[in-house]
Amino acid sequence: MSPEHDQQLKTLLREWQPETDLPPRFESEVWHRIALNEEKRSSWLNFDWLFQVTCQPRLAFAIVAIAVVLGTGLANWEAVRSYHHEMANSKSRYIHSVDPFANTLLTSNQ
Amino acid sequence: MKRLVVILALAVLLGLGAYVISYGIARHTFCQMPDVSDSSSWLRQEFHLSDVQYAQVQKLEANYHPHCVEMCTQIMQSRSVLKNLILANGSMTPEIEVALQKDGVVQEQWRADMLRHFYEVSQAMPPEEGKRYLQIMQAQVIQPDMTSGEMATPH
Repeated sequence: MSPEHDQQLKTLLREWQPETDLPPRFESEVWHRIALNEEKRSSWLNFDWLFQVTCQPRLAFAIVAIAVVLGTGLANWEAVRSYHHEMANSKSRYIHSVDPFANTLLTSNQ
Repeated sequence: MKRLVVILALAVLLGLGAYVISYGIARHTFCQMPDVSDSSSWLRQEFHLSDVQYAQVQKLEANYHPHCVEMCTQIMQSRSVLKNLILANGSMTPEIEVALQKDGVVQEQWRADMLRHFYEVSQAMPPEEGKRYLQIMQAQVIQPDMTSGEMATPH
């Protein structure tokens, strides 16, 4: 296509106006749909972010590392919790073994 | 999709592995549990007793135990007599007064014996730990109706 024809085509396109009547609020509806679509794509509920994350080695490693840290932290918390619980029981056992009144109370309550 | 499943499975497996290993290490080091079958093992853990100190405490506990059982029987008998007299009479009688006095004597003897034992045990501990032991155990002498769960533990 020669530059002269190209120029003519451009002029023609600029002058051309479609004669179709657009529905009311057509433009705003289009933008609304685009916005909805983008919002859906970036939602946390559709888990697309997870697929994107696992494609990046650093982030995938971070997920695994977080799981290990959480496992370790939870284990320590649970160990300390059951330790305190067991120590309280052990203390109670000791007091019942040396205090006859505590033993009497225990026996009379049974 | 496959990559996601592999990474999540790896995270869960390694997280569980870390939990099991950390829990095991904690239970065998800084969260070592006292021996359930030995009532005085709490003393060893709580007051950081050495083997020699613990052996001495165990010996004291073993000597005290038969006396404790005897006192327990005396208290129960005294309480039983008092309870029967209270229920059998509609008002205060000389018999109830005598039974109350006897119950008071038994209680006094028991508290004195228990305190004597607490002093002996505290002396077998390092001085600071001995003081802490007495701070915890004095409640049993002063407020005998309080059980261990209700006592404040000073730390």
